[in-house]
Amino acid sequence: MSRQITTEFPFVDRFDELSAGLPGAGLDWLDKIRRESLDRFNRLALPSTRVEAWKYTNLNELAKTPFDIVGTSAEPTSIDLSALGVSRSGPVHRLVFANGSYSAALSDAGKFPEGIVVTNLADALTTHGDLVRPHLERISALEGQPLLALNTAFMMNGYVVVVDDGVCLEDPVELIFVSDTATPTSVHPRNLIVAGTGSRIVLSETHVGYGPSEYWSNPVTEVVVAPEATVTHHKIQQESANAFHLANTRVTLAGKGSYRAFLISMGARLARCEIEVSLEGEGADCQLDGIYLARDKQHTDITTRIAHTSPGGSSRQVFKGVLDDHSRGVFQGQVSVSPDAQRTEGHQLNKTLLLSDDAEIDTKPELEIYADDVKCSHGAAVGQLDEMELFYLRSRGLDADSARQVLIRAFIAEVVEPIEEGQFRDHLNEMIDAWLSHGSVFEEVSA
Amino acid sequence: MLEIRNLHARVDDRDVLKGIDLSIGPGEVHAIMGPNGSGKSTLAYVLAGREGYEVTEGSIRYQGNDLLDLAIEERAREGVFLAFQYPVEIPGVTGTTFLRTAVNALRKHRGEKELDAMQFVKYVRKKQSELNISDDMLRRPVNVGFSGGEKKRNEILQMALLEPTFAVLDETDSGLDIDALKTVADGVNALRDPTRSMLVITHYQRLLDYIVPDYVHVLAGGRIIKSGGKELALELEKEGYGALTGAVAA
Repeated sequence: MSRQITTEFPFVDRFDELSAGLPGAGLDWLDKIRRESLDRFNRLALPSTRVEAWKYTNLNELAKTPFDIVGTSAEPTSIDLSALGVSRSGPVHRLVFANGSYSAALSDAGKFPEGIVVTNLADALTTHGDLVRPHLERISALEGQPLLALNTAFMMNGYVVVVDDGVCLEDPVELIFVSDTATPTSVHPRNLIVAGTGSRIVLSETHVGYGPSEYWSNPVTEVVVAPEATVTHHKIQQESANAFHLANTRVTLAGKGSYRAFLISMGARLARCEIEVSLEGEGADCQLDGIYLARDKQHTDITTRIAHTSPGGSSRQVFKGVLDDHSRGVFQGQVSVSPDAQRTEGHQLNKTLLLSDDAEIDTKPELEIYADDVKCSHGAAVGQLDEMELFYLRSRGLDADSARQVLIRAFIAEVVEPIEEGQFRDHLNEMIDAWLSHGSVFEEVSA
Repeated sequence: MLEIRNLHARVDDRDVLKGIDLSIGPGEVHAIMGPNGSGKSTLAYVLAGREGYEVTEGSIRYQGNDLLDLAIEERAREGVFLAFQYPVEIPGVTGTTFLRTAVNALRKHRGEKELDAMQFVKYVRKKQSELNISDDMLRRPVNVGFSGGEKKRNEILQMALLEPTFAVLDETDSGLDIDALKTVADGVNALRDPTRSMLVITHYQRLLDYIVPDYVHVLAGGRIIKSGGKELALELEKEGYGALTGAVAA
């Protein structure tokens, strides 16, 4: 078996034709990195399970599907976004991207304070080209990342959020990605968050899908956090049952910069959320928490890489999963501590609840520590619902389903309850309740 | 109210109950005493419907119906309550949430309106103070980190809130010092009622000084070998189980 899976996606061969309609078309520097990335993808192809990082997530089904890219004018109609938004009160800041395009009609950016730019990539390339360029160029040059290369070659409209030094916005900025197509379609949104020194921002990102067709969402998000800035980033992966979701988030933290992320991955037939955080400045801090819920034959993969390269940094990760039916989960968590990164604290915990004998989890914590003055820990646990706890609850009048739900909720609560943003926490709890009662918010909306 | 006839039960391929006959009338308090391994807890679990406790012969009729036909939660909703010997810890579920969910499951079954958080707090507060249960205890996850006494008081609080028709108290005295025992016994006695029957399971006579039964039965080797009034407990205390069973008391 080869380390590569060769693909014949129609859109890859149509690069010349398609690139004229993509954001920033005509910018020489961008055209150059798109072409270099296309070459890189053609050289690398998709990784097979022979590649260690992809050992548990098989892209064969994805490779076999004839994904294309639809015209940029395709805008979904009749989408009800009311159930997707996180905001229950207060001002709304909402950007909607549909099938890889920015939808002005569905968006409601609202008014931002001075010093905050929230826009889409195409506009940002025009208005803030000098600011965007170095970031796009830097990560686009990374080797050995075929999905990142493919995203860069075909990079579509995503969000660009730029916060000036010292500026704070407490209301969440909602970023909604919708897919709704009749034929197998791929989207490659490119997002960028740049938080200036001492700034604070809260982002809430949702990925959903409708429509009868398979689709592939391949977003790349770059997050650049300046000294003493805090970026809070909530992500809801609630793609349709036909979807492939392969997301790549790359974060760099300067001194005392902080990145706080919460991920819920519950949709898609195959999902992989990769988060890579580089703690480059002294005293940087990162907190990644999340939950993954899967049933039927869903495959859900969370892969994190935390690199401590400066002293005094801290990282904490808690990921909890609930897997039912024939679903499969993967958690790969790498924490590396460079020789210079003394006084690092790195903690990681992964717990999975298996509700069925046919569900499976592969959990792989990896600690690579090259400094001597560090506090690091990792833990992984896999369990089932406790028979005695179920009996106790039922003996007090709860039916078997309710008793199971109470115990699953309790298992998840440890990671959901500490979320400080009340509106997001409420939204999350509603989604979890809907999942537990065998529906999903998304299905209710489309019905 | 409760009629147990020739009850045989098996646990892990081992026959534990070997023909129990017991009738409990409305408002009666029966005590079952017996040495370790005599089948006391098995009887409690069979009554509550725990999985793995297989009835191989005999019947249990409760309020005219076949109890063994009912699922665990159906028994609870029909008024059967088991105070556990080892109350189960449920991490992540607060006491208040647990109690309210249980109370509302029963209210729903009876066609009554479910209590909201505020109404429940009022309902629980009175019973809570009688059993010396602090608000803090109810804010913590169910039974997690509780002392033996706290766990048993929590069981009796559940009994007080769920207002069963038939309560089984499985070694409610085990692990309690004398003060805790008094609190628990006062809680139980406050719930004695002409419409509420109880089966008090204990190894020691001590509990029966505080919860005075109408009848006492001695269980040994999976059978009731002797029945009598409350004085039987005192007799046992003096003579030991050995005199009755012909073996050395465990």
